[in-house]
Amino acid sequence: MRRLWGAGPAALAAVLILLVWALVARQVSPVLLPGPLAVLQAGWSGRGPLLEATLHTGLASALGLGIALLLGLSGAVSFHLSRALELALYPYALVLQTLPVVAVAPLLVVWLGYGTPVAVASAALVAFFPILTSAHLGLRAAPVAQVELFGVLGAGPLQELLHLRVPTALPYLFSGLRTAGGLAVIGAVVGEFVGSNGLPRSLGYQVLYAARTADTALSFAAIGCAAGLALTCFVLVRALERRLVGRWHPSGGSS
Amino acid sequence: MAPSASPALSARFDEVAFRWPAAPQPLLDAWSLSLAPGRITAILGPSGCGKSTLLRLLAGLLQPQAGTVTPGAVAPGACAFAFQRPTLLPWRSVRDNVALPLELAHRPPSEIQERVAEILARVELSPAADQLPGALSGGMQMRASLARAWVTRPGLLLMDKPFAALDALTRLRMYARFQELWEDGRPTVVLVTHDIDEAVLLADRVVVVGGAPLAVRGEVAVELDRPRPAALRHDPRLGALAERVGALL
Repeated sequence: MRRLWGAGPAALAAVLILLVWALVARQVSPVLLPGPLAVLQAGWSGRGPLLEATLHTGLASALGLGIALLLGLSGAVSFHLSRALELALYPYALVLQTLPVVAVAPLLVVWLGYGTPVAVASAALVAFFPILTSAHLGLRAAPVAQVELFGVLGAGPLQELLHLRVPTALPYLFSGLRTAGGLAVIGAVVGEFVGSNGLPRSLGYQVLYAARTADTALSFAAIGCAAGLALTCFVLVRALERRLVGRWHPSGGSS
Repeated sequence: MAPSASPALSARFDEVAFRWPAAPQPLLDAWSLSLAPGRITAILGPSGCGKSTLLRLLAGLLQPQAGTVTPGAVAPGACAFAFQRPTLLPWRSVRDNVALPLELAHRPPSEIQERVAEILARVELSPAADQLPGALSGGMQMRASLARAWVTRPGLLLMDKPFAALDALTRLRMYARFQELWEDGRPTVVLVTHDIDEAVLLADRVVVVGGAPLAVRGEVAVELDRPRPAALRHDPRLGALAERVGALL
């Protein structure tokens, strides 16, 4: 009941936004701004390809996120275990983050060819950094007293990592993962924008195609699908977080 | 089979020098102190004088720049440390927190289970065994922390103001628990504290320290029978001892 109350203001805002949107859309050409109903109609009549594209892009995002998670975690653990490696490579990880994915995507096409691998790679590229930094920070977040406790108990580096560092890092990692999830969808769509030759169908291609044919309503519907995808990703990460750290960490609690 | 208690370890400093990096003067300079095995020694002194550093040197968490500390770093895991704050791992239940030292030492699960159940009963935490530390009161957390220090039956127990954060009533009960646990195996105990009454009630020997570099200002032997109930605090003999210690501070 309390949760329902909490959702009230957001629902009210949504109704207001839709209302304003519908009113403004009546004043201008549907090519510039289609109304909410027109977007729904376009989405419904194009539901087959849109659903296929959403699944395709969702898969590419998930794959990219998985790769980023694997690489980000290995990087953070390596940096934690070897200070020399951290000093040598961490600055370049920072540089990696400053590269605009839109600019890198054409290069990915050169290396990987047209198609899904480009979407996966660009999703991984943008999701990697928040995972690496949050895990890196989290592995160093254990309180001094707990590190001392493990020292007194004669724990080895691996025991300390497993029983102290990793659990402490989890809430940090999840905060990075929430950001990374949304970014992975953006990365995948950008990759599809640049690297899709129209086969197979993807959300990036759908947006591009709709814009080129001035089918603005379909464009809106495809963007809505991408947003839904990012939101789904967020909700899934949040659910996993609640399951793994919700019992003991305030960040995993209800919200 | 519960493990038998480790034999009481002796602890000593020989001509130890220690200085924090960038500190204007050394904390310890040619510092020597010997702590007899199987006795409870209280170290009393003003805040920030370096008492906790002494414990960290004994535990091997810090290395002296000169001299030797026994046991020190040569025997990690030989002693147990009760920290000023409970330092429980928030994701582990009370039971699993107390089991941690045995787990890290790769003891067999049956032994861990038996030993943890026994020690939890002794600190009256059995009903809370499956709870997470976040759900416990400060006093219960401290009891869990002491149980964790005690679970390996260490030969040397280092205690850094372990009762300071407790309310008065809980503290009195913890004095009794502490003495019961000590009777079981009689390890060497080094108790760092700010509390004169606590020092004379619990210790066999009270060493008053102060100054920079650290020096022994004097010491008082407490030769009273054990167990010493908390009511003994009002005993004139203890009062006289406390006054002697107070005069040294």
